[in-house]
Amino acid sequence: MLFSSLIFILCFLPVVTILYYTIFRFSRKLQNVLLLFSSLGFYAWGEPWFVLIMITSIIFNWFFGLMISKFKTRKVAERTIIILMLLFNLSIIFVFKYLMFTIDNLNRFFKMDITTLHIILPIGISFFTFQAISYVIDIYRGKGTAQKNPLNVGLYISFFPQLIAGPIVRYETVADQIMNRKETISGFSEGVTRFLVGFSKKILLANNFALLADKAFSVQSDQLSFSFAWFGAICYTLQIYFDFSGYSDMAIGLGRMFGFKFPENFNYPYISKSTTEFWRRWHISLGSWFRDYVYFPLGGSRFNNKARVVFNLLVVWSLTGLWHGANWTFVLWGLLYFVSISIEKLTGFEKLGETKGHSFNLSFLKHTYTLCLVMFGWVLFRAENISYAFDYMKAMLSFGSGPFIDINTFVYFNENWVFIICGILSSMPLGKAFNRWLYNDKENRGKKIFVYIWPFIYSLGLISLFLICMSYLVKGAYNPFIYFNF
Amino acid sequence: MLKDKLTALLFVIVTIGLLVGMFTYEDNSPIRDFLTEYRNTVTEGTPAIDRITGAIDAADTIMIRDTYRRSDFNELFGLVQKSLGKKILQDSGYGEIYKTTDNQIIFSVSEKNVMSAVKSMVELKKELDKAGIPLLYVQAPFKVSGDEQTLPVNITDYADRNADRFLEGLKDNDIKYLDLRPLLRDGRKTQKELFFDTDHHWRIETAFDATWHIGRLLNKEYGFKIDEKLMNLQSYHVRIYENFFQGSMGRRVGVLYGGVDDFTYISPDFPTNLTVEQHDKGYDAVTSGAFEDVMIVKSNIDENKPIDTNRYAVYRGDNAELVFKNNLMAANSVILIKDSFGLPVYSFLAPAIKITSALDMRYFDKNVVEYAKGNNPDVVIIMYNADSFNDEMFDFKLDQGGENE
Repeated sequence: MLFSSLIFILCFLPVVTILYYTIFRFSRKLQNVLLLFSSLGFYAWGEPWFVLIMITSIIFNWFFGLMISKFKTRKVAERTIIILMLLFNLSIIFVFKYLMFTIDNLNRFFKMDITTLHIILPIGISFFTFQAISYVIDIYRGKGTAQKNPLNVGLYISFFPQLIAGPIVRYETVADQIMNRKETISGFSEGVTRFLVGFSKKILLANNFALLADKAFSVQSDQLSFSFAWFGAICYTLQIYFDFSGYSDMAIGLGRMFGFKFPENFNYPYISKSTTEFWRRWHISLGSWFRDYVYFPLGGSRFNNKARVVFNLLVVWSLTGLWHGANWTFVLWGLLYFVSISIEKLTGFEKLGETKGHSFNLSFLKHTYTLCLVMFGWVLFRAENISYAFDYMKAMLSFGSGPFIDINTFVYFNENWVFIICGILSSMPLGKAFNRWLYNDKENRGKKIFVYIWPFIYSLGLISLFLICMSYLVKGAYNPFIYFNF
Repeated sequence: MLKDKLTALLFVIVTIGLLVGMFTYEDNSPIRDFLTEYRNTVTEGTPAIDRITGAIDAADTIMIRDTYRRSDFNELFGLVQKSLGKKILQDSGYGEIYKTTDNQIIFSVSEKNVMSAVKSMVELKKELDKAGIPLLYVQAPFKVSGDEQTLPVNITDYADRNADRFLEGLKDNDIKYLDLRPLLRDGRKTQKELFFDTDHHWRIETAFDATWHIGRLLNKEYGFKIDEKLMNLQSYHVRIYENFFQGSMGRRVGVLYGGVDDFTYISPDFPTNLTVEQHDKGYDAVTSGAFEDVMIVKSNIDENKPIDTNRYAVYRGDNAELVFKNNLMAANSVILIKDSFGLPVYSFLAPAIKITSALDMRYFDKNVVEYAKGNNPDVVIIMYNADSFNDEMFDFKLDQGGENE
């Protein structure tokens, strides 16, 4: 089930919320049971039998957690359990996500003749498997205690808000909240607001940009114009941001409605002045997961030997690329960031121009460099294959065989300029700046009145956006789900 | 914060309201609709897992279909698109629909391989020739003309180009045709007079003109003796219903975006007496009476019905086979193989000749040649608009057995 579907908005969410706050409100255990079974139903809605994989994952990882807890003082046993746990979880993810890719490449590069399988990728498998790994490792590291009740492990792994598109919530973050969270009217209200912001981002911005990006990326590479290639790349850059951050907003908001506090996942990544900064602002939960569970265990940046640091970065970014999908485009996309972040790290790029009196021009150049690299990265990420990605980039650099400018760019810009401007403005922290302006200097009389009426304007505005989103859903407008690869 | 609390309160009211509304609104019956949809998609013997998937699909479908205040959401969608100045609209059925420079709503037709349609026509002609029955193809226009770019400038419509190539193919194979496009688009009527703004069909006046372009050709080349007076609008009642019709395109975008059309109802102002035989799969009916009693679905022009009622279907149709026997005429018979553009055409033709048989190849499942042999018409006419070049419309079931009831 998708958040951006009528069945979720008009049935699932109201029914679960009402049950949670009425019949089940007297017992935390019952509330957790309700949320667990609702989450399993939510997951099964897309492809019913995949829920069995999730249940298997829950049972095994609950068992691993108990075993770690039991053998707390026996290092060898503990490590053996960790290895078994990793083998189990990584095997699941390998079979469903990477086996076909592996066979294809063995057949292609080693001229082997292994029968190609057709395995359907269970939705969100990378997200829930990473959470499952986090559960056992955090117990191992003493950052959380093992749950005796498998239903609680089930709730942590399968909780529907973050199940299919993150954020990846680490066990240490919510271990205590499973039994000891506190629901309040303020929290619920904040959750609703956050959910609606994400919902609007997804339906109104991301889905409209998706249409435009799809048009550009479906043009044959030899006919793609310079202008439409850039138009498509910009639209995809906006699409993926509003889609992903919209989902994260919805997840964080839904969690809040049920008393959970999830970590932030996006922090205006497109204002970054380096790719290193970009990854501190983009999909924060994935970046920190790899940092804490892969990069730091490898030694991170603590080595004096720069080659070792670069090697660690290579491992992390190859895995990051591969995590996003079993395709060479994703691997290459990960490696692009490996190269840029390594260079930035080794040259001290981030500190460049950060000293007193730094020039505006340098800051602008750094921002431009980052955005261009990110956009070229998204072209790799979005393209069906590497060959098309390079042809697309050639068109962006005006080395393609298509024209420089074409009518599609004009028509689609003319049709969608409102969305594009809203998209660009919304990807900057203008809301924060507005709030600062609004709530500072309250003595100003005009502002005082505005502060008074602002909550009403805001609420009506957000509900209006919600109703407009609903009209798009009722119309069956384009509503892609772009995380099938994840 | 206050703004969050207000937002949450409004959200709860709206969502609960929509949920309750869906189950209590008198026109909705989501549970019954769900069960019907489920039974339609899940047949007996379906494996359990597929039954679950079927139930999920049915629930998703019903959620969209039975959303409380669905038409208001449709209007809101249209209003937003209008406010944004959009000419290209997303549509779940067509992918995209467009507002033309004439402020009409329409989809575009893609380039089609018309040669298989030409081949079907050649085979049909060969078989009809053996039976001594003439064949005439009539090309009705599509709403978008190839002469002028009325769609957004980056959108190409291939309807006219497809039709041109098809007619060229007919010409190469000596199959007679009448191209209505230049006759109707001769400059005397504007695009808005020829076609509805909110429907993909031609206006009834346009269909009336088209009928008598065909009638005059039948008189001239096929020995018909249709009275010239019947080809004159003065022999008919003409009633214009203002702001009366929201066509199929308009229903997709709402009144606020697409507007509403006037609808002209034309009926004979001369004595008529017809017997109509209707044959559909598993359903047969015979009725007799005057034009207004047997040719017309009166409820479709009931002024108390909502504007999204399909007014165009006041002229009955969408049946596998309709046979109109004119009890006041002695001569001439036609088999008309048609798409929906043919509804008013056979309705105007039937009071003027002895027998008019209308077949729709989407539903008619018998051999057309055998049917023609059995009925021995003066001519077999195939009339399609320029968006009907697909296999289904040109499958004349020539490989079917010869038994026709």
